[in-house]
Amino acid sequence: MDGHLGAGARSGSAAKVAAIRTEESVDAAGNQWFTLRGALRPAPCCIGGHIDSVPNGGWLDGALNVVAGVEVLRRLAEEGNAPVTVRLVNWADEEGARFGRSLFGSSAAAGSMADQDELRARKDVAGIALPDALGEHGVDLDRALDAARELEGAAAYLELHIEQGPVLEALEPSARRRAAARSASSGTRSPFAARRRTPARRRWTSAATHSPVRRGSSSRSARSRGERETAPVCTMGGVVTKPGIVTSVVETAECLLDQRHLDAGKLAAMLDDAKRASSGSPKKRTSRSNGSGSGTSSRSSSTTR
Amino acid sequence: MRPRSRGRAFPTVMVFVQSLRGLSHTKLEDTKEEHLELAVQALDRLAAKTIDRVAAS
Repeated sequence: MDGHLGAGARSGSAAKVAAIRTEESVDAAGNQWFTLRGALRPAPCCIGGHIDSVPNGGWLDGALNVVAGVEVLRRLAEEGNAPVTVRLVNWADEEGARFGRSLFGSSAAAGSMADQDELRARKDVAGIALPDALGEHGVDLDRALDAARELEGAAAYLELHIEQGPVLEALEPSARRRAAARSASSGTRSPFAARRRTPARRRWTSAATHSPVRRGSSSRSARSRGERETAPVCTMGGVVTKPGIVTSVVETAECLLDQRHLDAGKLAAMLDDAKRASSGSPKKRTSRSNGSGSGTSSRSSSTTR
Repeated sequence: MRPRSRGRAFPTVMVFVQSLRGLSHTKLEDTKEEHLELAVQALDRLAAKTIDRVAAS
């Protein structure tokens, strides 16, 4: 992202839509709208998404949802005479990469933005205040909530997104899983035999249970609603062990950890905590069942806990 | 500052496509090309059905 509102990326999205006869506009919160007027009813069907990403993010969250919306607009425009107005919105600064506050544009449009005073005090790593960065893009923080007008009278809102979890992939039948099932049922061990998925409803609990940083912060975060909303969040993305052989003692364990906090200083402290935890002497411990049904009790030499 | 009173609610639908190994918010996130294609088609069909319902309402 090259600016608070992803200015470079959004000009790219405008170019993609340029071939389609839509009206482009930017609302009071900097959200970018493309409108294809319908013949019968003005109440718009909205399709939305965002094209910014988290720092070091991937290529699908979130460009996919906007690009897919462009394709819907393209199809409708080619067919001509859409009965209903369709609007595609590119939410401004959805991931909050620069100032650590996500959902800027969408929360303004939804009317849920309530932290203007806190936003006013935010600065990026270069010391630029959030209101000044907004001003560079013609957005006034005090008027951002006017974006709610864009959704007045909306008939529906649709959005495509990649799943942020493994459930759908686990539902896909594959030869590998069938082989794993056969292997497991016959009592033999394979790299896949011990592979299990944590049910979605337990994933947060599981992540919290196995994250020392989260565990340490949970009591603090329970104090009040206000504190919960600004509580630190650490999510385990996975652990890769090497050499990755079940009969071999683990030599290294690489842990993927996503950490978030609205306060840059506290976020830095969280990172220090995690680094300290992962650089300590390996401790032998017996893994606890997290209720995911893995049933595998393995001794692990963990450097990341 | 208090949030502005919410406007009228309206139907909202999210369509999810699988993400390999459940990863997101990382450069490692990826989705099979055939699934991406199906996902765009699914969103388009959903949009078409939604438009028809709104037009008929």
